[in-house]
Amino acid sequence: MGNYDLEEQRIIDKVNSGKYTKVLLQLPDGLKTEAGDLVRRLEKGTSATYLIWFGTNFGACDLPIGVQSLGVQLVIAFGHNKYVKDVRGW
Amino acid sequence: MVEFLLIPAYSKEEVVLPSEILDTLSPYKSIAIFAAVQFIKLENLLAQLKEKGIKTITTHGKRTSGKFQILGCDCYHESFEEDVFEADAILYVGDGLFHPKALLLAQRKPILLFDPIAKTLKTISLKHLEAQEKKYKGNLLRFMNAKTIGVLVSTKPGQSYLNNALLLKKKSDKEVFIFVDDTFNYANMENYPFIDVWVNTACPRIGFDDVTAMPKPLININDALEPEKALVRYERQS
Repeated sequence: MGNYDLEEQRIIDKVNSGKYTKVLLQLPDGLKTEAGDLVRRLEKGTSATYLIWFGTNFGACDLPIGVQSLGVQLVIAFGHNKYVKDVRGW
Repeated sequence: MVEFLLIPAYSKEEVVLPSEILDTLSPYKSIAIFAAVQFIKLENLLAQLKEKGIKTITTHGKRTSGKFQILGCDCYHESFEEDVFEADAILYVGDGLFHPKALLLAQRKPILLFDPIAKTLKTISLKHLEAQEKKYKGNLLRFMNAKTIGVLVSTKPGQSYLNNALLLKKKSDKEVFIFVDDTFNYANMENYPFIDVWVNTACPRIGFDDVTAMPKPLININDALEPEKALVRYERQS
């Protein structure tokens, strides 16, 4: 994780300022092993509860949906930037 | 309402070409540069190439928002500005093969891969696609002769194209059933033995990277909509 900027202070500031209480983290495979340490650090800086997406993270095309039923207010997806979808198809 | 925040996880280290790799690149007059989002801050690398007198051509895949960036789904010639491929060489900065294979599929010339963590330079060529393309061409022929088709539609927001599945159902003279899931477990194909051939509408790379591991034939939706045209293209490539 040390090689990549996960912008943890930005996340902490956003979670605190937005008063989010339940946050889901979605990590690419290369960062999944570090999920525990990441959650520990974010918990120290905020009072939110963090959930970790168990499944795939193929890209920004693959954001988890339906998690509002769990009370999640914020999804943070790592390793990707904005995806430009052509709704007509490929 | 759920809010989404994307963190690209940019590399903290500057991307710099080691001198021996820079020497290897020196014979090229022009190089098109692409990168994974983690490594799109390439000012130093561009300066190194400029100092060697190498012209750099930069753009990004049409589904991306970062300069130099490419995604795995940018795997068609139309995914880029055409002049990019007039460069003497194409250099991809990043690790892994998923993204550079998109470049290989799109322009069918060898791709140079610079891994900025391992500091290595490798090349991938069309031989990396041989097994998948041979299998895919066979799948295409089986599709053309098939009677019953299963179309896979993903619920992933960026990969969801029910519109294209419905278009195939309307247009095709075959019997078409539409199946929905989030992530496709190909073993589940065997639960539907009445399906002759499957059609993928989700990520186009499913039709390239995964076809050799599937229990049943599968082709991509764009080829299912125009199978004769696709067959001509594959005949020309092989």
